Amino acid sequence: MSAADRAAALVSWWVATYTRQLPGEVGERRRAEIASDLWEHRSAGRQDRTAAILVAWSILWRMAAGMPADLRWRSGQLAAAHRAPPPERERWLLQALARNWWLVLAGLVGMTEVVVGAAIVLGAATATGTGPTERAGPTVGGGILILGAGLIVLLGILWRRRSPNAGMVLIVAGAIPALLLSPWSFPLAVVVVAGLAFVLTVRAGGRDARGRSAPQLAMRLGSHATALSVLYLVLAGRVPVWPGLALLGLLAVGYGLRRRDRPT
Amino acid sequence: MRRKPGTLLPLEFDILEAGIGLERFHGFQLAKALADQSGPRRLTAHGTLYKALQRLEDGGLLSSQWEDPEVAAAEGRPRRRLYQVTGLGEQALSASRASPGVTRPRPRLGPA
Repeated sequence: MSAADRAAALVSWWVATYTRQLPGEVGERRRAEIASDLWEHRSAGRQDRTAAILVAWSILWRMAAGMPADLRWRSGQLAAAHRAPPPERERWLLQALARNWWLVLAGLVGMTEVVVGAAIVLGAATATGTGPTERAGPTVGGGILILGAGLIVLLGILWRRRSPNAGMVLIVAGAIPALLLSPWSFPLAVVVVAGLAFVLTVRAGGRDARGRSAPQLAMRLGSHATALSVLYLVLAGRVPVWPGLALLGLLAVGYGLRRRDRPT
Repeated sequence: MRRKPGTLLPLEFDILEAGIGLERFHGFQLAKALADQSGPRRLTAHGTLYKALQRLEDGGLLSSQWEDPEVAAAEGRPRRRLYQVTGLGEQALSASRASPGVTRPRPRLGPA
């Protein structure tokens, strides 16, 4: 192996290094082009009867002088790859999530109420050993109320397909008890506020139950209310800082998804 | 190097000028032509050259395609990526030559 061949091998290693993790076709093209260049360079050196050490020096100089450009190019390619639009299926999922994220929250509220309500009822029953007693009566009653509220929320979600207006009323009504469960459930007021805004907008002459104006207003009001309530809870020390910040982060992601979904 | 929109960098100007003379060319051939064009000098660095080629191709001033693999195999060498200056590239070169105040090629090209 001549000095020129060793220099070419070193360049190939460098190219393989800086094209690592780049999109397949991009990296492959650069590696193939440099491989061709290296071959032509050595071939030209042989034809011109240039000493192998001088060809090697020229190859190494070209590598070293081009390193900053190589790194900038790599950085640009990585950035372009991250900016690339997601695949069709992923984009569809993101758009669906951006449109329906508050419905997901409503589902969470409903399921939380069902689980908490059921736990209260079962807990009361276990505590007495034989079932609800006179002493456990109010607790069981509260549990049943919360459980029923959760079922109403879930029913409202299903009902929206048939009658969006009626579905929203059910969701709003069913979500109200969630506000009383704990400080943690307070941010979930987004569902209530969003649903309320939706109903009011439709009643006030918003386009129609499936129209865009009502849900958009509902989402805007709901997300603002949630962000403010989470901020309030964090600042007031009602919830620990880090989980509160995590919630705010989730809301920021929601905002980002909505902006991404917005037509340009 | 920052540039005004619609202007060519010195290396891009040189590439288009050399490319028109070569018609279809590959990377090393271009590096040789650029070196010969302005007297004895080093070959353009790999990173600088191929980055500029890609930039020009992205801008529509060059087009490129891989040569037939059978040709390369028959000659016992790797495939070449063959470039060609497009009509848009020729226009850009003419505009760059004609317009006052645009970036002019430097006497010697170093790595950009």
